[in-house]
Amino acid sequence: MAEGTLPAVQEQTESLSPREALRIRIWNHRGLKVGFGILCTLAVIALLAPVLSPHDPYDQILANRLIPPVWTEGGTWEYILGTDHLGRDYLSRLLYGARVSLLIGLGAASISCVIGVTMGVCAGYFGGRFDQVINYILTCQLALPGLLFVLTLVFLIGPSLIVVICVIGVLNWALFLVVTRSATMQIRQLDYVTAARALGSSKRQVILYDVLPNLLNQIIVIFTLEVGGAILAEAALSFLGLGVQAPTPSWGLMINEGRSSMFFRPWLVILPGLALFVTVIGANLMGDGVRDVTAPENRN
Amino acid sequence: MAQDNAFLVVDDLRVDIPMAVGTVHPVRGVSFTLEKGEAIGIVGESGSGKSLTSLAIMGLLPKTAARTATTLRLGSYDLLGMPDKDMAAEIRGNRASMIFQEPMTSLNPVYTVGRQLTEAMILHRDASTAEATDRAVYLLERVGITAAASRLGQYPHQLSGGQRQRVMIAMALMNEPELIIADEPTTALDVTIQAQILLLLSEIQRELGMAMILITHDLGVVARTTDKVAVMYAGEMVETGSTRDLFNSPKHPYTQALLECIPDPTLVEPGTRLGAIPGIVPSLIGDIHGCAFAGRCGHALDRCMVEAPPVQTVGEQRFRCVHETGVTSAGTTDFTEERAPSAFTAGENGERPPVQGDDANGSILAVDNVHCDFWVKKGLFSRKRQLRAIDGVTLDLAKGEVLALVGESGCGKTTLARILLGLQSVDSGEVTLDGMPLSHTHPKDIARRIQPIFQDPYSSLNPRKTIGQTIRRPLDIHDIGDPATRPEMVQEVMELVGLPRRMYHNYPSQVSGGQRQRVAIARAIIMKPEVVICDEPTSALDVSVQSQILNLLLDLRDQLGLTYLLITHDLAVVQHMASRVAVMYLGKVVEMADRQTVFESSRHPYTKALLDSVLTLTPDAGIPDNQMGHSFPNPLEIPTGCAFHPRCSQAMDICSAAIPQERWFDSDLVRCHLHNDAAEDSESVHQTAATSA
Repeated sequence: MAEGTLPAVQEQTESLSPREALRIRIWNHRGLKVGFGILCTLAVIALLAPVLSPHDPYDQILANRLIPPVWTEGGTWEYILGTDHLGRDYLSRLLYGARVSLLIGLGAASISCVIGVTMGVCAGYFGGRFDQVINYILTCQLALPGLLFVLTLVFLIGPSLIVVICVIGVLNWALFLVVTRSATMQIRQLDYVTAARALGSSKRQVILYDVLPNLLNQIIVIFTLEVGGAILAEAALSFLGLGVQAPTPSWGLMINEGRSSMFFRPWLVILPGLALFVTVIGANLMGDGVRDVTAPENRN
Repeated sequence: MAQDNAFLVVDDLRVDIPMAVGTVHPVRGVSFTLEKGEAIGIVGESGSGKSLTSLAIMGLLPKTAARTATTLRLGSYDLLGMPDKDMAAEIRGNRASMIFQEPMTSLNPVYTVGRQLTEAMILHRDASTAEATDRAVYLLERVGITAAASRLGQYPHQLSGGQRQRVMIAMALMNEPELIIADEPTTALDVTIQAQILLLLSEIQRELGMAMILITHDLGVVARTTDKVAVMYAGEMVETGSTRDLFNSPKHPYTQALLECIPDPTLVEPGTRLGAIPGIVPSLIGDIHGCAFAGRCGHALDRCMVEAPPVQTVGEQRFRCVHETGVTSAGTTDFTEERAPSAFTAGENGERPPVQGDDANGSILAVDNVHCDFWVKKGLFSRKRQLRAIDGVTLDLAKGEVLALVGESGCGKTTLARILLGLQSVDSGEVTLDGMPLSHTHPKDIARRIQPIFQDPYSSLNPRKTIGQTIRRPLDIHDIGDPATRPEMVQEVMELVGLPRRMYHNYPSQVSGGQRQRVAIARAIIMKPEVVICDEPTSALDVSVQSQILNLLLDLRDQLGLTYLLITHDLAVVQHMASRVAVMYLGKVVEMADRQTVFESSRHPYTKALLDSVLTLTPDAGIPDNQMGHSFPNPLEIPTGCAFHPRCSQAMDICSAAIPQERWFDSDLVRCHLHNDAAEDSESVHQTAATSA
């Protein structure tokens, strides 16, 4: 039997070990590299903020109030991005602000991920009563006016970083729940779940081995969305004065403080806004990239 | 082409689709002609370019695709240069219509049947709504839909699959088209409905003198319905000819190999090895040098690899092959990996000698008068309704046999399989495994002895796990063997089922459908179970792959001493594989007997109707009329008395009044009023049969 030349095409991909193949896929994905680059840079900035900052972000020198950035008229190299209304170095405050934003983004998204995915998978897999109860909870959560409720809670408990993280996390799991619930319901009916049950897998084994790995794509995408969302929610809270409290450098707080002189000193608002924008974009690019790279349908 | 005056002329049709990896050529120089009133069947495995050929004729290719041809003419219309606007106005839905495969998705769920039917006519013919409605009612009646006028206000979800396909046919006929293209029109339907739809399609096509292109992978369908056949392979038509010639004396090795793959009792002895085509359809990217089939052909010569085969003509038959008068046998039979007895089976040989199907070694799995109901509730406030999925089924599975469970979709076959796997609890009755009730057996113990194989190889494997991980999973769950030696065990099983070892680290999306099914089989047998429940194991596969899987299943039975419960609607597969057959209808077993009795002297009218619906490869036999009523009843509204009586051609008064009891003829079971008298004589036999069961 002549085997011909045609099947050879197939063999090429098979000689790669899974790890090598993964590396190649990661390397070929531009969005992932950009997103990953942005987030890594931010993480480094957040970690090394004390080293990188030219000044102490809390140092108020009232004589140097409202110096514009270096590229505008009246700027100095001493304060590259200028100073705020209390004479604090704006660059240093931005760098320190990355700490707060990343901490809140990752912390809050993780909390909502754990809550939402647990409830979603349980509702989708067990169905029936379980599903009804969880759906009821979901309806209640969706009926709440989100930001207003967060405001009230923070106001009642008292604003602090931990409280902000927890409150945002505990109130933003709806998307995780909705998506994982419907995806689980679909997966539950597939033959490989039946096969796993016929192999004698316990419910826990089925959920951990067969259901959760197949939800990973959706979870990653929502997670990055929620990281962005949480960062923005913190900014909104701080802007309203109920987030991170005053001397701590937070991008939302900085926008709030610059608001009053927005028309005369726009950089006070634009610079932290830009930082927020880049961070959220980076998180979304990274999420899309991870989804593309790990998606089994792309493994050819 | 010879017949330039034919109604439809397709000459040297090519389709190119540019993609990131290179240009795909799914259709490479297809030529054929078709007269009015003539039907041509285009057959081939998936990926051979059948559907794209029809889409190219209709101008429905994806936007990026390029279509070229020397001639593409329908009647007096030159389709090649026609702008898309004119195609939509003059040709599509007007002179040429299409019928698609999936009746569940090809009707729009948000519009009524009436609106969808009349739309094309109002659009193309400027007909008034009243005229269009009249025609719609007439056509619905013509395609055999009862109470046609009232159906117009219904939505697609209110119709059964068979009815929807009838509506699709009626819709295609609204503007009296001259050409009908039916793309797998019956693939999604049950055999009984398939026969009826084909009969209808063929009658209407002859009556109205339409030209028809029937695209299918099912050679039986083509043999019975068309005048001409074209066999496609890798985008080329490798053989064309009249249906009779092509089936009686196929010339091209591919055609012959395809025919040898079919478990048709007129061609192969049941239970013996089927022919199979090794390898896979070649990549359609770039040019193919030489003959596209050469890599899989048993008769390939050296020059087949380099030069394109000449087109030869014998009578009306045209084929592309270097062999002058064609070859006489495919020569691919028994290509399959001759497997040396691996360590996996060797250890078992002493304990489990190969078992023959006929040796009735006592029963291993017994089902005793099992009932299973589901409660269906529509909406919050509506009443719960009972759905009798399994209604008093008694079966037993003897060691080493292959019991086939046959019936239309919705008859409860799959529910029964779930019960046997311990995944579904029963309402009454009992399933016993070697005398132990299944309900008192730990799920893991059931799992070690009974394993399933599913229909759809695309959903039966976890896409996130590699093939090695999937096959190894049972060992991990049950903690069999030393973790370090498990990969070795997996590799042995992979070899046993004919999977190359290098696929260990591949993901399911990287391998073909047949290979996926082999993975599922490997997962099922790695724990050396006694019973394997195969739920439609081959119905999602191409015939050439189906034959490989059936061969493998039979080999494994001999090597590992397995017992199969084979659930299927494909009677050809049943006849090839089974030693005993149980026929199910709406939750009841209506007939159970050994294979020979069922196929040669069946007693129940339903079994007879099922057998009548089978399309064997006999070109001149025409389409059988199984004389069954239209559709399978809604399982929520089971007819009174014998559930089959509304569709039964021999129904009597008593059939609608009383439920027929089980009657035993030796070891054969029948549930039918026709056999009451005969059974009374053998009442004593029934007693003994019942006690032995």
